[in-house]
Amino acid sequence: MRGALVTVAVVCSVSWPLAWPLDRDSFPLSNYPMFAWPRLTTACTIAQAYGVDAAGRRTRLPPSAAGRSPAVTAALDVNRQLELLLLGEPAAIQPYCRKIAGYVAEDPALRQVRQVEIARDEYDSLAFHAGAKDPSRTVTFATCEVPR
Amino acid sequence: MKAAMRAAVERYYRPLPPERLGWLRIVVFGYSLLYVLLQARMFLDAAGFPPEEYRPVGIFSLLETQLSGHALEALLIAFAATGTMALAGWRFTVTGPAFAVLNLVLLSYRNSWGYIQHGEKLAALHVLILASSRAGDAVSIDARARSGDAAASPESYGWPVRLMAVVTALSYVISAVTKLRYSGVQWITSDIVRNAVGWVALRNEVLGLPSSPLGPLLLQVSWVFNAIAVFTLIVELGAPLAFFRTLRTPWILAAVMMHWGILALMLIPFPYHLLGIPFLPFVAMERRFAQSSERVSLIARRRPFRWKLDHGD
Repeated sequence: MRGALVTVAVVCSVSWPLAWPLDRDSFPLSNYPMFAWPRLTTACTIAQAYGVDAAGRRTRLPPSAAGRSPAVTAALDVNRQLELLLLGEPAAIQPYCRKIAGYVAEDPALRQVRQVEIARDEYDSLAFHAGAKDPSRTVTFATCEVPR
Repeated sequence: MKAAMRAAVERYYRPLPPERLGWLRIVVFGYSLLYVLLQARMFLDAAGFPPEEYRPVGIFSLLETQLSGHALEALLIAFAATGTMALAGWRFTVTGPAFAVLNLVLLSYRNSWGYIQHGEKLAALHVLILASSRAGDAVSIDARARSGDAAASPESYGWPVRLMAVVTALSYVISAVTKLRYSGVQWITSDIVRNAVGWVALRNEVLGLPSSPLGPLLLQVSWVFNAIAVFTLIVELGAPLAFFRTLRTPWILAAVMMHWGILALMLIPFPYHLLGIPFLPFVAMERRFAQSSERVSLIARRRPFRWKLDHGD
């Protein structure tokens, strides 16, 4: 009896995500959407936070500038956070930019950074791997000064 | 039809040696314990993450609670303690479920702060199944304390192993169905897989993460990725084949190969799968473990080896 109950509960729960909308995922139940999305072109975009120094040079800010620890997945997590904000909460981008600027102001390793930019870079993956490493286009969504 | 159903149910409940559940407990719980403890720093760091980045998943989507650093420390200590006891099979009916719940809590919480790690899901489900079973009745401290008395009916040791196997197979089938729901046959016929590999390598390089050198090298040969797509869908949709004795080994080998291929092409590790742990419920592992431990004890008992010099006379 116990076996039957546990079996039915587990099989129904694990199969339940088949009825979910495709953009929904969870843990540990899942519809495993990894790489299922129809990426039909080689065009790619990557949202990033940049630091701009006094000379106008832009460098990618490390995950610590967004309040993250230096774990391997931190850069992916920050990237995901930016993409989610750009897609779903564009009004939250400017406050997020100011928040990053606050972290940057407290980080002595980033003392040269004067300004924070939230931007989305566009690439072509085939061209990128053939040597064209610069983005074909950059769209800046928010800019804010580092309080010093 | 009714007879076939009855036969399937009977087969599902057919007894298995308690040792198989016992060894599964040791391998799956041992893996899960190490997996979290080796990344303990990352779990504790979540206390300091910006609160607006909290996107609760799983049980946390019901609780909507953000945990403090002290709470996370306490959870990790309890996790390590219950995990060690459950791994050793000590008072498993209490320590097993406690460990499974703590494992679920910690992993769900960590996954509420960024990318959802697909590789962690199956292990968490297997831990839950084992915790709800009599996995502490063999190869355990509980078994020694009971000194050979049977703890439960023989049927109790069969269905949990088969349920773990069913969940492994289901996870692959669901993954294939999602690909087809999202992209249809284009997932095979177009460049979706090649573009995904190109994108992952690009993203990792731009974000300063390690990336595979192999994936970008193959991007110009698009048919390779169509072949990979076909192979992937065959493996995933073919997961139920593992329930047929003659097809079991080829399917397991193909599935493990698929995960090593993903690692080689995209540097995305699924450690639980790469080690072959999800496939153990399909295998009579207790025999192999018994043979191995017998071999080890034979070697230990063997007299010191002496070189015999042949002088030729």
